[in-house]
Amino acid sequence: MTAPISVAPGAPPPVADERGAILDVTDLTVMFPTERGAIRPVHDVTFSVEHGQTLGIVGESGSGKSVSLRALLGLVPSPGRIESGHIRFEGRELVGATAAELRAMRGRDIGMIFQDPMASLNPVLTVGDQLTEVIRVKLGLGRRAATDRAVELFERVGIHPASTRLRSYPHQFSGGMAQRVMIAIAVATRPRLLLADEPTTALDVSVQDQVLDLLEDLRREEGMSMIIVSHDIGIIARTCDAVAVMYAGRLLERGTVDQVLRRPRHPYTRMLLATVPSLKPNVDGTRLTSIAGQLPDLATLTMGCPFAPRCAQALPSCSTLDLTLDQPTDAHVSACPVA
Amino acid sequence: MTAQADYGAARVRWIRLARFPVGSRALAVGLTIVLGMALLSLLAPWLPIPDPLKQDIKNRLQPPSIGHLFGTDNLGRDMLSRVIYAGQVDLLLGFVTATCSMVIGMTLGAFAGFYRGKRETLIMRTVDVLLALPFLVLVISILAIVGPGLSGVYIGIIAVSWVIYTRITCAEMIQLRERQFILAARTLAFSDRRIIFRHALPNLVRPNLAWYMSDIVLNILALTSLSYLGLGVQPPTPEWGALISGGQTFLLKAWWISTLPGLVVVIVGVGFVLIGEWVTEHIGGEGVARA
Repeated sequence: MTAPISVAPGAPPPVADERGAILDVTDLTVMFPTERGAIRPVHDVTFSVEHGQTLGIVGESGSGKSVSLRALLGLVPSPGRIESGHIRFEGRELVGATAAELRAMRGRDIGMIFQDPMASLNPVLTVGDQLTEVIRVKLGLGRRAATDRAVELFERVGIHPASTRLRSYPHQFSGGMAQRVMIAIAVATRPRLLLADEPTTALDVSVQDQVLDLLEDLRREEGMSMIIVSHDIGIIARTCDAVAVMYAGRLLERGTVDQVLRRPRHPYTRMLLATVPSLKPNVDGTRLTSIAGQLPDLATLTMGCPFAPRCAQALPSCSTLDLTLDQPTDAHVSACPVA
Repeated sequence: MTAQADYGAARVRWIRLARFPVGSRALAVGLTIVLGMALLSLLAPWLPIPDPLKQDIKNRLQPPSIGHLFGTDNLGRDMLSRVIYAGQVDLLLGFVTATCSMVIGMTLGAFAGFYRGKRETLIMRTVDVLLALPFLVLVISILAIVGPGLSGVYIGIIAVSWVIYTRITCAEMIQLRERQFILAARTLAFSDRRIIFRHALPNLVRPNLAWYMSDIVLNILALTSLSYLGLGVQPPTPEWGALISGGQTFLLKAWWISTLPGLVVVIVGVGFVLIGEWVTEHIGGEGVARA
């Protein structure tokens, strides 16, 4: 596990020989008690990540994507907590695991990168300090060995000249370079699952591609699995194998990228896809498409489909619908009875 | 044209000289005063000044002159020498008490702000109680327990003046713990202690540093006040407050005994304030920190 990342460009990618899911999330519900009653930003969510694959979670702001990721690490912000459900990582149950067990797994088996790379780096420590700290604390390497490893990682994520840049402070990096530093920190311990929360949202469009390419290359080389959370369908389409569509804490549709993006079944997914702006000449005179209305208030949400109030095809039965999607994980499933 | 250009060049050079260093003359003045006083006190044994304790009854109550720049007191002791030696006691106390208070205060404040809950309540309510009482009254009541004298003053001041650092640090920590890089450190499963001391505290030094400069002055003033009241440094050891109170009886006959040490205290205080102002002003840009 402590072997250095292979830098050789021609090295064959390690084949994920274990088939099946590395992560199984079943009926996960995260609850926040508030003065107006319980709020569930993640409600009965079921998905899984296959070995060596990338799952994309799409949704608007406030749909529960980020809270889901934090729940996987056991870092639901207080006073929230996991109310029910199961998270199985490599067969181990994480819901109800002790703080020490979660701690042993965090940052070592599961790594995470965040939306705003500048805010994720400590402004008063050099990036080298922050990277070698992870290597020394989590892998138990000595100072010299950790520095060598850090140089190797910087070269791998494309920061040159590595040994000089290690002595720089975060403010001396651009957003794209800072995200590369974050990626180096996240993969330093060779995690088997990488969580990326809006990894390119804060970056220039021209840099987004490079960062996504880097993530994709690293995932293949290391045989990692990945979860990318984004509101940008374009990013999901180019990097992911499977997609889960979330809305108001609920999972509305799940399937492979091909299935969900080419043949969307849920009306929400269809409308979401329709909002993607096109570069083609605008013949019919319409401007940007938007979804009328806004996300429902989670505190007043009770039963049924949360999208029903904004849905053109809503039926009376939608308000009492059972949204649980617990069919076999590889199937293309939709929570909508209409489609 | 040429004349104009020359004029411009001269002007630029003049501005550059006037702007030592990094555009702050106030800092330069402050540093000169404080470092100058500290250096004088440290080097006092090697300076060509009389023994501060040596009495010379024949030359008592001499006004300032070439031989005795600050004059002599009622026992004929050289006041300049006494003021310089007093600097050792006062500056050391200011520095040590402020540093100890900052370390204690920041540690407690960091714990309170990081964990919130019961720990925050316990620590911050203690702070509130200590802040509600006048500083000197508290120090004097502690002196009543441990007994008067310099070590008592050290204990008394440290026991009371950590509270401001705790309040500053706790408030900053409450904001800091929600910042992304602290969350990032938690996703890496670093221990709480590592996150608090290595990741959070370096970010909290600078807001405390501004208060630290004022605190040094306040602690020196506390010592001078206590010595003035007879609770601090005991005679014949020279100390600024003790010198001022010693000259009080002779104020009308020999104004210099009290006035000149008082003036020195004021000037040193101004020096610290000038440094403090510069620190406060330059706290803003977090990104350029090299803490």
